[in-house]
Amino acid sequence: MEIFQIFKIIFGLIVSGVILFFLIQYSGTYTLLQKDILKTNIMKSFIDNARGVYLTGNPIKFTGFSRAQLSLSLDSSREPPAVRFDLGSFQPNVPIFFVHDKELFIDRNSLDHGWWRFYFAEAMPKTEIIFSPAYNSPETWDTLENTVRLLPNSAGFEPKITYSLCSGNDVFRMCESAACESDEFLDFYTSYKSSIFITCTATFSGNYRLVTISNNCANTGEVCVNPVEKNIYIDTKTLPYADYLDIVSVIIGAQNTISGEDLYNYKQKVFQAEAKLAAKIMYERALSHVQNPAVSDECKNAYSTQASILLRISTQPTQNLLEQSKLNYYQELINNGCDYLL
Amino acid sequence: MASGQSMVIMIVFVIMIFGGLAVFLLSISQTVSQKEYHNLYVHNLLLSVMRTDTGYTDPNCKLVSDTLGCAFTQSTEYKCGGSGEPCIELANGTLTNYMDRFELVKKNFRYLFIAKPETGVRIDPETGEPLVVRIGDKSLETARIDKLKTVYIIPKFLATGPYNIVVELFLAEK
Amino acid sequence: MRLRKRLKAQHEIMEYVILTLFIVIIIIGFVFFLSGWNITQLQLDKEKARQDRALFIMKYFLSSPLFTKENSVFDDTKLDAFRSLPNECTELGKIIGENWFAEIETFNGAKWEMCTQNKNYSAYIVPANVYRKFTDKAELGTLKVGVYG
Repeated sequence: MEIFQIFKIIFGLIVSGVILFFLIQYSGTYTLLQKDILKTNIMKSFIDNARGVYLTGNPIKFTGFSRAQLSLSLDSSREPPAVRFDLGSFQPNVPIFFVHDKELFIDRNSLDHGWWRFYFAEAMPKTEIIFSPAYNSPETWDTLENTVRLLPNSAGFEPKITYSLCSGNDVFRMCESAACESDEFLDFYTSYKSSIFITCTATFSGNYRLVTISNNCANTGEVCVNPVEKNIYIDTKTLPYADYLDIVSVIIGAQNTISGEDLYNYKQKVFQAEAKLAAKIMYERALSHVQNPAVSDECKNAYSTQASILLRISTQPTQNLLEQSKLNYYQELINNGCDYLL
Repeated sequence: MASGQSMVIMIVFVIMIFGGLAVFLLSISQTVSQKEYHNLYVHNLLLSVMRTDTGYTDPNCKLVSDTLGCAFTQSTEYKCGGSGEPCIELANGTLTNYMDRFELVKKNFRYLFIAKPETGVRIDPETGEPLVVRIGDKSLETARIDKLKTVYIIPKFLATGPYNIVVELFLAEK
Repeated sequence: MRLRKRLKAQHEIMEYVILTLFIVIIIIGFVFFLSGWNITQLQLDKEKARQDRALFIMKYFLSSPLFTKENSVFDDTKLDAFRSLPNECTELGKIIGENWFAEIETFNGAKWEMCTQNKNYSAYIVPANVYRKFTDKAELGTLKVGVYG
């Protein structure tokens, strides 16, 4: 073999080795970069989809989280609140109550206060929500019905959010032995109102939420709502509730990574911010009607009453004041033709 | 020398491929946001124009959509508010004015506005032809180009039953 | 003869080295291209994110009960009320973030400007109605929403 041949072989090996080394190192970095880009795109897609549902009211199925492993948390201390993931955070800028799972159903719902509506998006995977109405009173059934009305309605969509009742070891799945979706559940559950229910002791598999409604929440499982004290019990925590969205936020989160308590605190933050601003705007608006000579005396009085309630809501939006303002809005303003229905 | 030449040619090819790839990728990345915005624009344009007050309190002529509905369902002698303009003239005038204003807002778009009954035909007594309101660039209706379209239905009822007026708005870049 | 042979050998070695050099340059060029492409993509993504945010804020304004009577119909009394608040931008900023502006204008000349600043922006404009509450009339106009930065 000529020396030149040997030289070519050795030189070739050295150069190939160097090139291969850099290529492997670069593709390693590039692969990691692509993984990071994928995670960011998934998060962005989730936020965009949630915003879309919030703005249009059209529910959708979201499967983006199945493409990569993400660890999520809620940062309610920021203004507006943010959703943190492995590489940073996104601010949804719309209220979104969600559980992190591979396949999610995203829906929109609202709290109607007459002069203002608080819209929010909610996202859950396939879940059976079992209610155990273990306190025999009208408040229990009111709480149950109003809570179900605010939970996702997956009719015509996947994955399904279904509802059933439980007493002791008996589970009542009212739709041909299967758990019902929201609309059918609300139709069928009334036939059980006269029955006496006891705390649920049945066991469940798959993705579920057990919600006990009772005047005694000791040893009652996952989530317990006490309609007498107006408290929600989850783990060892006691959370007072002012409206049914407080209950819904705890049910959705339950004991997940973004827990019921996290979503509850998030709800307080986003709701208070919007309620205060809405009240301030409507207060100034009510004043402009009181001061306008073209407005009738009847309407001026109605707006004046509304203004005084709204002024108080703008600093402390309590449920009591919100209910007063809603009543005044419908009885005085709408009925007298002073304002329009939202 | 021959292998040197072919090496240079190969290098030039590689540079051309990279450049072409970059240009192609850049060009496809720009389009997504604009489509969503344009769809929102055309939808809102038709909706907003239809819901605008004309100034008349006569319920047949209160909104632009009412006026259009009146043009297809009332007699040609009908005048808005009793002594105002006939519905078809008011509709044509108002729509032309608004579309011209929006041409100033979005200078790079041309539009075509068409209104006609969903089913059946209303004969224009002046021309003897089916009455169809067409305002704007009439070539857009049949032009085979990338155009946006949105539809608005004006529900009307006659003695014979429902008689909807279909309003279409086409928008295309100039 | 020996000289010619040596020159030929040197020539072959040089050709070989230059060939290898070109291949290495192409590979390095490819690496630079990929990095440059990623940087361009990130810049495009940043601009797209700004446009997406402007579009989101636009849709938010068009559908929010804080400003509208119904979808895409603003209530002039609500717009006036919002503008009369002190720190209205900070308040709304707690909900939808900051660094944006909105302008609603009717063809009759009425105008509402919110949170405008003297900075570069990316904006969208869309037709909308403004309901004049005290005259019960809907006027035609536009909503312009932009994001700064």
